[in-house]
Amino acid sequence: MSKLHSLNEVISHCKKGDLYFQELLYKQFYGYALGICVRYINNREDALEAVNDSFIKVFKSFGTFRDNTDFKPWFRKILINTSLDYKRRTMHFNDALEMTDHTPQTIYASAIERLSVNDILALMKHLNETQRTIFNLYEVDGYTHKEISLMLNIPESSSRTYLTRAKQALQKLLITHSIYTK
Amino acid sequence: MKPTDEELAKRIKSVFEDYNDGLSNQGWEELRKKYPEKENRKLPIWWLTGIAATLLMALGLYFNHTLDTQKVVLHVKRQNKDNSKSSTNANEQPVSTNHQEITKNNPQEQFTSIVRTPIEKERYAAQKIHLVQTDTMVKKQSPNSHTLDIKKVENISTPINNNHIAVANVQTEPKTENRVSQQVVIDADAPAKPTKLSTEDFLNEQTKILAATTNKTKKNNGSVASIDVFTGTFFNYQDHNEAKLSAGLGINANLKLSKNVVLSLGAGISQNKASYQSQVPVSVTNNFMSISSAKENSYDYPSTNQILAATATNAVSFNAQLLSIDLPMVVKFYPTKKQDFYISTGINSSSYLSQKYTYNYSLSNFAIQNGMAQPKEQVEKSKFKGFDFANSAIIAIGINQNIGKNTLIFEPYYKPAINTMGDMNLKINSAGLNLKFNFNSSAKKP
Repeated sequence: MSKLHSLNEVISHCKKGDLYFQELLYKQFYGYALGICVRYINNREDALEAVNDSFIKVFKSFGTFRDNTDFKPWFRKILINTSLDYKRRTMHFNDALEMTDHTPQTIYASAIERLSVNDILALMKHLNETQRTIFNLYEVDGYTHKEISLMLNIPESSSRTYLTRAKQALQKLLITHSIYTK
Repeated sequence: MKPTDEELAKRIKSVFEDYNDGLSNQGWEELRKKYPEKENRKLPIWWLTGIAATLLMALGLYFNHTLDTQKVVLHVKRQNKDNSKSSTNANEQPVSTNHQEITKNNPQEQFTSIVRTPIEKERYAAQKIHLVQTDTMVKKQSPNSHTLDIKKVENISTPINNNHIAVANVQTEPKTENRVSQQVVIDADAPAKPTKLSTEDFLNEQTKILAATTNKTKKNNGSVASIDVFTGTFFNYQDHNEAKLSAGLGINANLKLSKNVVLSLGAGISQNKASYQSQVPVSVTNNFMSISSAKENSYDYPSTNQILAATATNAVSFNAQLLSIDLPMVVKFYPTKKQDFYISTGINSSSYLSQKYTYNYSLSNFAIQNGMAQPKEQVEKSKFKGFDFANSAIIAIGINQNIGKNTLIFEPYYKPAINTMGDMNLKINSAGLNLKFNFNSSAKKP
């Protein structure tokens, strides 16, 4: 029995509301889901809540999921949207961008390769909420600035500026990180 | 994208792709607290109708019981008093002794005496005493007209316990017998002296008087005014949208205007639900647009442009829940002499205890670009707000079914919207069934 077939089987049982298979699906995709949500939401507890809300949405809307489509991208969109909805309760995007000094420096590739989950999360914590969200949406999850502007209800130009600021901040942080880890 | 950025993005993707903190079991336990939700099962209409009928019956029985309470209390009080008296008399003069005397002197009485209860025996003895006294009076008033055996009549002067023996031995000619029996009948109808009447007779008479008074009152009330208690289940619907089951209850006062026409004024409380899945009224969209424009700066609300875009995709739904006080005013017309059904028409006005509107929409941009629209929800609530006069017309047919002295009315109805309801100016049509319980009604009349 192939892995793909196995997933289809699990999904078909989940569509029928079978709790056993829903638990299987949950445990199979728990790490994947948490890995996405935790990038958008600082607090691990809040990220878990977003993960669970996403799974509930999935279980409830399995009826609209087509059998021949890939599950992961569909699930990914739900996870990101749920995370953003969760952040909206506490976060307000604004156009008042803080200007920071930017001094381009060389970052060693080896430093990036050594980054662990905790390192990345620690780096991201130094970004403000908007920068972090836009960096994740654009660089990691592949959304365009137009899409981001609609998702966050901000102008496209603001999205670009936030991304630039996020990258600058990360470069600074990475240099510091590479110095300390060398 | 600079090489460094690409590398960083790749690194982040790969690191988080198989991220696992090993707490999936704990996570699943957390999820199970919310899912699956306890099903909020909607009761089928026959269940709601059954509940409504049961409620009406219970109310009917309660009111009937209240009407009878006075009778029961009076009866019980008097019975208790008289029982104590009669028990004392019974000790002094055991019924069984009388019975033996009766059977000794008149064997024909044996058959009837076998089935008599102690109370019946007492009553029987009292009747005999009364009969003998009456007979004595007849004899004293017109001694010459009777051909009675004087010796036997003289036995009347014997103690009370033996009076009935004397009656049993009286022999009269046919004419005289008739006169005596007539006199007995007249005497029996005449008010008895308290000292001579048995407890049962007295209570029976009192009960008859009370019942007659109550019946007269009921008839008088039924002919002029009556009260209905009603419960109803109904569907609210709008063209091309899902019908929603709702329910209500209330009270009506019926005033008879003429032989066949009745004016009915009522007050009730009802929960109205409306669901718009495909065609959201323009008034609703405009209202929500104005609300969201006011809140546009808030991140929780969509911009006006987003709503317009979402509406264009037709992926919008709207749900309304109104808890309203309804004030129906209808005229009922009874076309037949039997008055076993009526046709009614009128208007309904509403005030609102609470209003809740849920506006669900999807951002069209996501629908186009990602294949999956992002669901959004906006909720508006208000309490104790608004009054809509004549928001709907009422057309109904009532079928009367007698239950004892009261009437159960099955009233299918249709209420087309003639005006708007609530803050969102909804035009809701409804159709349903009222079950009405009519109190104080005479047979098949309102």
